[in-house]
Amino acid sequence: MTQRPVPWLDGKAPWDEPAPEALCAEAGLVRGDVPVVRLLSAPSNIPELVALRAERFVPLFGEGPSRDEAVRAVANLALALGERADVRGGDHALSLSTHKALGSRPIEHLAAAVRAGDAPALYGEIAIGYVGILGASDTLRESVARHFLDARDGAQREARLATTVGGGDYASWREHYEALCAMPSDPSTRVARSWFDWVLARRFSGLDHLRAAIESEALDPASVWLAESALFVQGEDHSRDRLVALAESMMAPVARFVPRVISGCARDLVEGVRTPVSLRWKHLRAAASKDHAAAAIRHWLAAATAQLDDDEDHTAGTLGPEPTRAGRTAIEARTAAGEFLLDWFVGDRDAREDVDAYARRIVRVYHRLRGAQMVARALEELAPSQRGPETAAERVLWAGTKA
Amino acid sequence: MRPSFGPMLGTPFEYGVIALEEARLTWNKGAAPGILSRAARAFDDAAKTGDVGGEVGAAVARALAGDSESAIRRLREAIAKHPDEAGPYVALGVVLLRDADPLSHADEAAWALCAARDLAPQVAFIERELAVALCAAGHFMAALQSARAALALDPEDIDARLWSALLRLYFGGDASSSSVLVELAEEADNQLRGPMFWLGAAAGLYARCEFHEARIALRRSIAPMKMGYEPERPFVDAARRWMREVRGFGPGVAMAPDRWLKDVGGPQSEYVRTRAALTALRDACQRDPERALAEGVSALEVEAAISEMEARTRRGMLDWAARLLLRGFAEVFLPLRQYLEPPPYEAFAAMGVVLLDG
Repeated sequence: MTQRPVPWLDGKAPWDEPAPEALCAEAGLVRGDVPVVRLLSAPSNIPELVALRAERFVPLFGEGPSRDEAVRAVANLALALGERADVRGGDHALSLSTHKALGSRPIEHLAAAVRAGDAPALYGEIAIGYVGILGASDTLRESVARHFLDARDGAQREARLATTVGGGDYASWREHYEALCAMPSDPSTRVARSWFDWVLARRFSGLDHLRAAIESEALDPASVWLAESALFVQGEDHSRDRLVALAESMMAPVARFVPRVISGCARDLVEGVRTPVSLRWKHLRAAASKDHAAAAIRHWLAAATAQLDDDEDHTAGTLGPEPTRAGRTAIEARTAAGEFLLDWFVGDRDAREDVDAYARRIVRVYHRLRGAQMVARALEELAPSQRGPETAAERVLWAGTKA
Repeated sequence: MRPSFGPMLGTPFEYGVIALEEARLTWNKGAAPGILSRAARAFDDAAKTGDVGGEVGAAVARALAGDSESAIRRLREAIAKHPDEAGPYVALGVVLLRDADPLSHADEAAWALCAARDLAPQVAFIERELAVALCAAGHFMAALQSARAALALDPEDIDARLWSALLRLYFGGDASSSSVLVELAEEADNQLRGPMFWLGAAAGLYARCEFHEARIALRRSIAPMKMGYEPERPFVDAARRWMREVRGFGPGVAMAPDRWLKDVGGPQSEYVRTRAALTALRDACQRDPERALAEGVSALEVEAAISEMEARTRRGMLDWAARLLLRGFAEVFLPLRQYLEPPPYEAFAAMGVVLLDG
């Protein structure tokens, strides 16, 4: 793989700009005290916080699509989510994802390198998993992931899931569902789509598919967990235990490096699964509030035209299967309004909002778990095999490893 | 210009009216194009003198000859020029409802006829046509009000009685109106207006569970159409299609349990599965009421949700059925009427083209 030149490193790097005098004075520092942050401190200190505010940091893959930068990204996760991490370590790590002066250029540069085969797809997965494991908003996660939608292998799959499985932040479930439906079908996206169908649109076909997928398809653990979270809504026995056990097994390989992710996930998970009967009740209330009459009429129209024999005098010729124009309106109006929207946005507001809150938590945990999967893989694939840890970032991750 | 009857007399407007009258009298599934063309030219001459009646007559003559597009454009222009005259509004409503696809123009027709009613209140024809337009557009309550207003002005108006009875049957759930529909067909036969009214009678007979008679009524409604004659086939097929939907949704359909299950989409439908899941939850709440109450759920609440869902779905299906059958009736009735009948005299009177005594 060839090293691609990094355009913004030709001259003075943007993070080498001195911190504003006023900002330094406010913190009681002089300009020289403000470092350029490559690796976060644990815990944080005042000069580092000033550096982050003054954009004196190297963003995610800011020094190009290299192994060192990939290791640095994972090391920053370990520092932000480790035992000794600052309570706001996750926020600090998120602020490293984009630099004000560069915008999304480092990620675009990385994506181009992955596309061209100049960098392994793993680096793309690391970039997506980095924001996922930190619990980034839909907007931030999607802004990073969208550059990898036409990348190769795993990076593309992760990008698809990161951009489409979401919608809780701005209640844009419908748009995410549409994007999900437009994606090429693979087991993970099929599970995500069925999850939307069942949890948010209360369609039993989604539940049936999820049950079948868990039993028959080769799914990654995070997708299995997502499917299990849908079965929990249906009130399946032992579903809660399975959800917890699955999450724990996925976290186990990274528990030593990013223990705070476990507490973050646990918080969301406990909130979500605390009241299973109530959740099931609200989900069913929302399901009962759907316009079953419209669905029934459409079904009837289809069945009537297909099955009912025509009593009329057949000398007038066979009647085609199409309904009257008034009948077509009943079918088409609903399609035009958007099937998913009508099934999700039901009249029972309280029930819908509680189910939405559950869905939001589950989606957040899901992306954290996908991020954890990525960290586990990165730790395995990036580990220095021949030599011991040499750089500061490597020492953060593999300090106990011998050469 | 050749006169229609007798020697050339009077103004161009009068020639137009005479030609239009000739077209009406000789109407047989349409009028001879030559007569309508003569009417149009005469009205064109009248319109040149600034006569709004001439503009309306020219547009209506073209519409009757099949050139709806030009007629509608001319009438819109006439409305823009004479916004305070009821005639162009009435004519626009009538022309739009005589289009081959009346449902797609129903809203504009209702608007035009509403405007006409404001300018010329207490005209039975306008109220009746407004009821038809509103019904075709799906505004059933307003349609029923207009039909009643038309009946208040003219209790013998069989069109208003037809629409009022249909609206009461499908929208109001008044089973007694099915008999009115059947009686109206007999009455219309005496006025040589039978076919369209037999369509209403088919609905009434079906609602009275007289299924065989309903089939016969439907045949009577399409009887004027020649068997195997392709241009008339859309009228026949539309009526049969509408009847097929009446057989599925209309009053008279036996609502047996298996019928209901079939209507909501069968055992795999969302409705049935949601109901089953709610029933399972209710049973679970009854088995362990303390746990359920701790999470704010009671068996009674779940039971209420089940019955509310059922009631809402039944109501919704009736509502959808009314929407389908009433608009479907308009979809069949209006093209049939425009094919078999010219506009009545009172339509020309409401347009300001002729004057009627009484």
